[in-house]
Amino acid sequence: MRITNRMIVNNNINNLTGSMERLYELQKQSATGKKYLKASDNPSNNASVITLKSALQTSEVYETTAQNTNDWMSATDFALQQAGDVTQRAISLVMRGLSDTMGAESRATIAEEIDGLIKEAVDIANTKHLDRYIFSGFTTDQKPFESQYLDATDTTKVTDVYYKNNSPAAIAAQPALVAFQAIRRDIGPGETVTVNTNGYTTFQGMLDTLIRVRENLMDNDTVALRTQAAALDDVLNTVTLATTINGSRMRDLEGAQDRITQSNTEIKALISQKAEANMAEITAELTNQENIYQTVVTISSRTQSMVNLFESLG
Amino acid sequence: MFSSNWADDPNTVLEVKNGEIGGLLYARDTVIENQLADLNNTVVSLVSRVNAIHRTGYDLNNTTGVDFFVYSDATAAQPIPNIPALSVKINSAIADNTYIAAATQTNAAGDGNNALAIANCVNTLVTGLTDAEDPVAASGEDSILHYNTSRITSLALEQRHAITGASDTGNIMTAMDEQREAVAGVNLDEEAANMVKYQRAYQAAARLMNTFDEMIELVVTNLGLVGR
Repeated sequence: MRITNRMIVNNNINNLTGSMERLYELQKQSATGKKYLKASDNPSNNASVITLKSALQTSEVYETTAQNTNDWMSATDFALQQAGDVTQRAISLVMRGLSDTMGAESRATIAEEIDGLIKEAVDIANTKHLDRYIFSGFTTDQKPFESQYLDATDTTKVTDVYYKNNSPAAIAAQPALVAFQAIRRDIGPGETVTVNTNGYTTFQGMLDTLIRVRENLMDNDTVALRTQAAALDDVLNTVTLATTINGSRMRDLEGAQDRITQSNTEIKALISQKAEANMAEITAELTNQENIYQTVVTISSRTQSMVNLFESLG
Repeated sequence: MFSSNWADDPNTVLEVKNGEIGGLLYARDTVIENQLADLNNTVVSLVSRVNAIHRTGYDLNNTTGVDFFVYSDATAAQPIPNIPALSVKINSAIADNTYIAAATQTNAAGDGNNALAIANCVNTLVTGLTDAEDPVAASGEDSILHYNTSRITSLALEQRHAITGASDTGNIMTAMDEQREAVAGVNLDEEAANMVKYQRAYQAAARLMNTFDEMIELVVTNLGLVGR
């Protein structure tokens, strides 16, 4: 091919521009730490990065939800253990009350202690976590157990405890009033946990039994008291069962939390792999590109200032 | 938007298909137009789905049937305005967080099932919406997220296509220009050599003239002495 001077000059310009463009790309990559700045630089990669980022956001929300759920369940666990302790203490008090050496007066003293336990049990059943009642189903803003007194002005003696202000007669007429309202949380795609524990089944029997125990002790009625002792054993079983169920849920949740954390780390690694520039690689390439540019400049200057025939002819 | 007409035929729109102007018009009228349409579809679907679920739920004050998003440009005749993406905003009725319908039933402060359904509606179909209300579903895509990702990817591909096309055409142009230049261009060395060649030829011709002159001179001066 016949080469003209204009071709050499144009070629030099093209080479310089190309080399400069590659330098510019590398400069952008190293300055931002990103593999590419615009979606058009790598469309398919960008599509997967968007999907991954969205998955990461969702997953991070799952992580927060799981942590909140765990806190709630820990509060439940603590409350249920306290309830177990109260029942245990009530059982030992009843055993003392059943002793034949006891007189009516000592039984009345025990009744006082049971009264204290009733108030404690109501407080436990009304446990709040982050200003929400944990045993109240969906109505976390409503106190689940309301103490009823013989006389509205005298609040020393609890005669009855109503679940959400529903009398036993109302509940018998409409069982739906105490139906379990399970608060569920998503802690993963298709992975749902029940957060709360049924307050009514766990505490209503316990509170009713404790009140009956107190009345029997006051009345010095050991025959009835003996049946209450058996009832208290059932109560303890109920509370233990609730604690176990809650505990196993917590174990499941902790497993799920580990999985979420692990998957978050994996997603982050994938995003970084797809979107972030490898600095060592960029620096090496930058040095290489710098050398190329220097060479192109040298070659351009030499080809353009080459001695031509005119000059050598003098 | 603006279009150019012929001066002598005002009714015919000047259509430029190629070149820089053609490219700019294509970007303006096709690429950006499609992107805007897709963006509007995304907005309309999101608004309709979230609203449909939000309306079924109950807030902390037990109100229900309230929309989450509204269009500021909506009219009774046109509930979805022409450019929904520009006029979408959060309903002022739920500016207070206690008016967000997170529950599926009344008097349920701890129930977040409706909020969960709203969160999931981005990726799952909501039944009972018309095609106009849910254009994303009408296009055959259940997930708004996927729809949006593919919108971005299609723009990126379009741009990639344009960049590659420009670079390829540039290369072809350079190759053609080089061929033309090879025939029509000027090589200084060639010119110098030619110049030297013609200069030498001229010198040789002059030398020849000189020789003839000397020959004739010889004849004129040396032959006979008539007239001297």
